[in-house]
Amino acid sequence: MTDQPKLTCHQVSRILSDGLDAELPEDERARLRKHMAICDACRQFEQQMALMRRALRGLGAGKDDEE
Amino acid sequence: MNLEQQLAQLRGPLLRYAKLQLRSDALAEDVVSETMLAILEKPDAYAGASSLRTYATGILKHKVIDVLRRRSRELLIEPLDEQSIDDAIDALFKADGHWVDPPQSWGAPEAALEQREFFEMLQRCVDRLPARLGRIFMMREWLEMDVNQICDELNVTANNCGVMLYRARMQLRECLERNWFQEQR
Repeated sequence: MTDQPKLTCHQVSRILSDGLDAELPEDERARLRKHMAICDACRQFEQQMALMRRALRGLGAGKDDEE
Repeated sequence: MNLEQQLAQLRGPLLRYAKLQLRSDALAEDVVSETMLAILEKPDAYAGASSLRTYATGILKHKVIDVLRRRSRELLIEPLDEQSIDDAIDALFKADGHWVDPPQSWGAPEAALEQREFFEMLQRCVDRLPARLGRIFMMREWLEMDVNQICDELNVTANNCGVMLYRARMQLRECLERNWFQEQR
């Protein structure tokens, strides 16, 4: 069985973005898991993407002045 | 303060979001007026369960989506802006695909999400996106439309949608890193 080439951080950044919009194929998810297990930078990036999504979905839904 | 007075105070923020999505002052005015009218016509529907702002924003989002569906698709070609973003994204990575500057922790998210100034910076960063990217990005992230819906509305391929969303996310991330989180460290 031939191992697929490892993902680079550049590739991972795009895959993580894609993963925010649709389910990733299983083989891609497996390769992603391997990379994320050893790459703190990409783990931070993933968390940043999650924070951005939370922040954007809250944009405009601020508290009323009287609350 | 009665409901009408409260709504009058919300008009500014609602208009701002509508303009961001619709890129048309006239259409934005229309949807905001429709939103306010919808609330005033059925005051009992707003039972005070959420903030009035949240309630009004929810109605506004649906009306914006309706307009986007009715309006004929616009073709905005901004190759230079998007090419610049592609170049900027490439510059974030070394030739071997590793980060030039590995992303560092943005700290506890609640800390940022509780600050009005953070949301103001977020808005400014979103406003800097090229028009086409900004529209697609906000359709996905603020209107929470499905990617297939977005692709159909704007007549772009799924891959093209993915590319544009990626560009927008990377640009936005860089903007927040430089203008907010770096200064917080």
